[in-house]
Amino acid sequence: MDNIVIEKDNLMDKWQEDVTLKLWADDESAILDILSKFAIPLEKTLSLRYSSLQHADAEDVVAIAIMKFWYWRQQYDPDKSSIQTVLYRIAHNVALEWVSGRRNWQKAKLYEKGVDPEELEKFQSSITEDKESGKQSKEHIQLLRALNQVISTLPPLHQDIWQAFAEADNYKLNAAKLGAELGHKHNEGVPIPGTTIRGYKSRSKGVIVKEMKKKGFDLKKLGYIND
Amino acid sequence: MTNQNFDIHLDGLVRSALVPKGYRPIKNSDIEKLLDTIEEEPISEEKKQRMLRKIRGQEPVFQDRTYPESIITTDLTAQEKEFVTLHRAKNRPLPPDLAAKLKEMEKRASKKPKSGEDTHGV
Repeated sequence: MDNIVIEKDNLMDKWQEDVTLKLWADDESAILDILSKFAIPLEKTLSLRYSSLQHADAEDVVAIAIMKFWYWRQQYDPDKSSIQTVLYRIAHNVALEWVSGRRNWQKAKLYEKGVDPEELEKFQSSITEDKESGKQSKEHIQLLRALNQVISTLPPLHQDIWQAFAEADNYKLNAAKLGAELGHKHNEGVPIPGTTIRGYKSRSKGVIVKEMKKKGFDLKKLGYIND
Repeated sequence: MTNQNFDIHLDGLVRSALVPKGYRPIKNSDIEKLLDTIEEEPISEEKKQRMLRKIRGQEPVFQDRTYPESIITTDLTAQEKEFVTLHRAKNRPLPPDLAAKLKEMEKRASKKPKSGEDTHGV
């Protein structure tokens, strides 16, 4: 089994080396190599992370990520990160902007040539520390499980609202665009106003806090809510 | 301060609850591990070519898939199109045919109506 793993690693190293040389030589066949190897795995991992990302959108996200990586190829440093980790980070960033409702921005920026190298440099900076790893205590895992259970009891629309805000990460989510999407899913195609979306979230937040307290978790004391 | 600011920490906690940690890799090694777990699947030639077109900018991305086309696009009648042109023209010269039509309408509007004549509409 160990020999199989070592052989797989060696093959991957060779692939990385070959494709890196192609990238630096402006050989467009590198794009095909990357597509063949990572398009589907990237789409699948993004879909696992962002449940609101539809299959067709995941493909677009990955296509944009590969395009950005291609434009930036001369700055790529294989000593800092592998091709797949850089691609993943770029794709994750694109997906984040998409799910937070910035699709219009993306359309405008999409065909800009000469992508900002500073923006893309951060994607290949090696990250070795996971700040969240310290929080995965038994109590924290129980907290997360309880929260998952509470959210699953909310009305489906409210669940989707919380999912969307959670996926938007630190981006400011466009509530109006979310309302349009959720209106299609839950309101027979009629968009739900952004203020209503925020109102539903606020209301269900009260439910979450109350139900979590019943389960023994005071979210205010734990520092997760301020009001 | 908007509601969103109050909810930042709770949103983060919800994210941790709804998306398993394994699907939110941060370290390079975790990213590679996650990608490695995805079973290899050959990409079809059709998908490959479609993605290539998107990468080259030959095919649009992020098409609005929220609404069916019948809601997004509308066909205006000839009269509606004229009204739109009038509205957009504002203080700028109108196309000759529309200018003539407008002149005719103004002429009719300035005539005093005879008794019993229908005055509705322009």
